[in-house]
Amino acid sequence: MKNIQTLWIVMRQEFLLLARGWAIWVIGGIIALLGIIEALAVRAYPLSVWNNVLVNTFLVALLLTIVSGEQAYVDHEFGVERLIWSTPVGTITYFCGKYLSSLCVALGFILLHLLLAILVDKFYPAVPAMPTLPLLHSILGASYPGLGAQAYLIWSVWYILAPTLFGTALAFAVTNITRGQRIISHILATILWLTAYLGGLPVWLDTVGGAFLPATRGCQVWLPLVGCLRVWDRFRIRLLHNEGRLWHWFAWICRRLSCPGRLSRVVCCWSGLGLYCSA
Amino acid sequence: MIQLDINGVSKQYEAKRFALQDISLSLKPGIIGLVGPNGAGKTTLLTMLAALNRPTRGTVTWNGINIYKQPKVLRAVLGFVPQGVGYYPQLSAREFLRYFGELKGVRGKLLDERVEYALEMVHLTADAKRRLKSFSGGMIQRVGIAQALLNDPQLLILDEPTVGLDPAERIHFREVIAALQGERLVILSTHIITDVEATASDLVLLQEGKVCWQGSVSALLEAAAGTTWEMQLSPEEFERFRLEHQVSSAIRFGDAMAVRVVAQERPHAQAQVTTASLEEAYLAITTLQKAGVKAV
Repeated sequence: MKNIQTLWIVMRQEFLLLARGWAIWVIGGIIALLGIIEALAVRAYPLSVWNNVLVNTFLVALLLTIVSGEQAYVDHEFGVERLIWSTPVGTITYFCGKYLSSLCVALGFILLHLLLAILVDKFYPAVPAMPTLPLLHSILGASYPGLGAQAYLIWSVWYILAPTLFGTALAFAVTNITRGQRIISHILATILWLTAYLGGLPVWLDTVGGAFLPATRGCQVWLPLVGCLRVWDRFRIRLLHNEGRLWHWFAWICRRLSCPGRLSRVVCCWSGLGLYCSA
Repeated sequence: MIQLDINGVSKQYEAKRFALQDISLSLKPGIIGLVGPNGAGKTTLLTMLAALNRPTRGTVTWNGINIYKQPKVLRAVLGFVPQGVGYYPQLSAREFLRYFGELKGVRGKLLDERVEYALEMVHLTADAKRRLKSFSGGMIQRVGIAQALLNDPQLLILDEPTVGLDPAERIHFREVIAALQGERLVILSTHIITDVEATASDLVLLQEGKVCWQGSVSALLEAAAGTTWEMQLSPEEFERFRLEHQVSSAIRFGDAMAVRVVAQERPHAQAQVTTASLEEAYLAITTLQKAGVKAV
């Protein structure tokens, strides 16, 4: 009970410190703008929807990772580490409080991004094309109807939430392990995010949900391990590798269903590693 | 009865470089002045006593409990003011103290009382609502001292707490420390001997990572008896003289200089032995021991 109280004290303090800084408001503004841009771009150029969404979500997830890395650095920056560790606060409790607060802030921003995207998608009017006045047309409204909230929700969960959960844990762990060398955490996050474009490492790590790869690519990596997997996993992989249309949609649903399990694995694994190394 | 025992503590940073070497002390309630030149190992020793840093060899026990095995036992009763107090610039002094009070396990009405008491002790009640980023270095130092008092500590460790304080604040700080006497152990590290002259019940002199002297203030003065000399010299003579001797003070009176010197033997034909101040006694112990003079 006492540890829970301390955890809340640390979280509350982190929220206060963040709210009193100017940077968080600027980042909030950028993320809100990205949410609006995402929906506008989708409705203006539906043929480029995939590119627009991927670049947008890439930026949001990377930005949130960098913000959480900065938050882990605060104590080092202000030189209060010695004061904190001279109190009876538990190491795990303290780091958990800091991590959870940065995660809550990141989740808040993801929600803001999602809400704005859905609102723009729903309420920005679709107007008939004006070939002679393209600028006026883009101000008056969108060229195409909205996609609906579901699409944004899926993008947000799969391409922002999953990599952000991983990213915050990674940034937190690296910043603490390197004793405040946040630049290492930023470089590492950027490399991992960029490799998502090229495939490879994120798939092997099974971490970056926003891997910009065909749906089945990630599973090909695991094929040699199929023998070691549970019956359900083997079944799921077979589904994912089936080229048939029916199986393709079924596999798509399965992949969505696998999301919570994958997320919890990511969070537990990286948060645990981060906290262990910090302690 | 509280007791802090340091048993054969050494700290080695490199193969042949010891920051501390075989320190053994038994400290009981009172104000202990930890004095030594810069680089003597004072901060290293204090961070070890606060369980923030582990020794390469040896142990430290608080009331018989190894503080590295059970650091929370010590930290529950510890007040620590590190060198160069850190702070969150976005917070006010009161918010900062409330946070650290809560981390120390002080909650509810008691927390309010302790925060107000600590603010009053360091004369910051009027500035309690101001953000710390607008505070001067001396005020930040006082906030650091205030946070150390929040849990009414049994062990109070202050590492160079008077750095950055102006003369009036220094005097006030000494009053605060004197008021803290009682059933608690206060370890005050400084290289300014006047900081501990009036308040310390015992002194520990640290030099090159070793304890070179330990005892009461009066015992230190006694040990240094016969090592302080005074004389009058012309300014030209003084210029030559100061290169060869440890001068503790020199005041110009017209054409002559009133000079006080710390030396084992009569340094000049006109020199008369005089009573050593605590600063001179400290100089006698540290400089003469360093020079290999055995008598002190």
